[in-house]
Amino acid sequence: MFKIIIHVTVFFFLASFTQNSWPEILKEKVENAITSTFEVETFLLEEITVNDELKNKVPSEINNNNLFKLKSNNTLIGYAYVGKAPSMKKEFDYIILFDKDLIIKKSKVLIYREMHGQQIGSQRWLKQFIDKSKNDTLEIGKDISGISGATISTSSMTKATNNVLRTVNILFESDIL
Amino acid sequence: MMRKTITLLTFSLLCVGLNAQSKKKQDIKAIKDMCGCYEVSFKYTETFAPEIDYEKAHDYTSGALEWAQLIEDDKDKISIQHLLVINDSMVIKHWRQDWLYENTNFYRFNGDSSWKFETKSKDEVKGQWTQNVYQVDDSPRYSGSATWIHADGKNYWENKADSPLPRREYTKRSDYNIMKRGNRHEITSYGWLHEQDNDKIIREEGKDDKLLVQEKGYNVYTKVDDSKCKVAQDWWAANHDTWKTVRNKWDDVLARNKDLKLKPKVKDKALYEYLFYAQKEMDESEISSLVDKFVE
Repeated sequence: MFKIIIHVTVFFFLASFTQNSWPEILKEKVENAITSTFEVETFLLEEITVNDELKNKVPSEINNNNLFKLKSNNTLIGYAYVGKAPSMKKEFDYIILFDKDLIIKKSKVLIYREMHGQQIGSQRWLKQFIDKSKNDTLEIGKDISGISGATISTSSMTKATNNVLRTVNILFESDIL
Repeated sequence: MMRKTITLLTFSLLCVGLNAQSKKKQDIKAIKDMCGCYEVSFKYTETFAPEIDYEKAHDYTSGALEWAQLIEDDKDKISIQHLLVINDSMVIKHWRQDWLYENTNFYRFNGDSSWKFETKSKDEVKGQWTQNVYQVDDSPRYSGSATWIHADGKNYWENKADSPLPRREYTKRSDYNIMKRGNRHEITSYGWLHEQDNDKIIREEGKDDKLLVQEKGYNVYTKVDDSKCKVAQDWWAANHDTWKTVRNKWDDVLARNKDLKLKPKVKDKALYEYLFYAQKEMDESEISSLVDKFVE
């Protein structure tokens, strides 16, 4: 019983931490991305905590506030990674949503902070990442088409996705996912 | 010298008056040129969204045969009823457009089935035509005033007006509540073009309007022989009295000149369902009490 109370307390603590540390606009966009992709009205973001040793092993940044289990009606529906990657002069925020078998269900650019390269936000381009799994390594020009005029951002998003896929693979092998 | 000045002034005023009359005649001709039988193609595509994570809706395309019937032709008012012809045999009452010269009273759509009553001064609408657009049940939809332009071989009218969601999205979307329509009607060699540059807007009380996405609409009306729409002409001949009664009732409601709020449904049915699928022909008092049920 004591264990359950601790677990619940930790969960709510983590949930509120997530809410407090993200800007309101990012929170809203993450929520929209999840509800529309998984076609659920309500869901819970449960943070996946990773120890420092593993954090140093994985290529993507894990800050205990960007990798989550997604649950709806107490059932696991998938996973989400929320990250930042460089565009030409600034950084953009993105989300990669996995199904419960760790296959990409959707990638979205959530916030983009400059005019140049905004084409990467289009689902016409982003849908190329759908169905890629933890064992894939993606190459621009081979697996993913480039976009003329958005070379830096397309490379950046592809690299970020590769890092997330490798991270997910390492965490899976380590029984974290 | 004095006589010369008076003659010149009188002549100038006469010219201005004649010019205004001739301009109004051109306007009326352009408006009436939208009447007749047309093959219509409807095309819409979402274009620019301010937020990068907005996922554009699929393009919408459709086509129809449409009869545009002149139903009122007064000095300062022209009314055109559009009727859709489906499979050469079925007729569906479609939208209606009324054109009013130098009109000063407007119902501006404000979301949530409500319209704000607004007035403009005579000076603001001088030489302008208001286009009032109505739903299939003759309830109001949107309204805008602008000048018909006849220049460089073109005849067009353009305006921006807040409107409810279009029928193609009314039951499918709830992520915006106002469509700011950029309407452009141009009379062309093949018929006419209804071009639209629309903003899909989220309006909330006490907040600034938020643009969700912009949309291009391109509705081409290609003139065909009127005989192709005979079924619609016959339908209108048989039904125009009933619909005149409906229009008159709405005219009474709108003549109250105050903010308007309508119920989208009464007993789970929209007004058009009562009017289109009535078991028997409704008389004036039945139509009147039916419409009253929808006015809050």
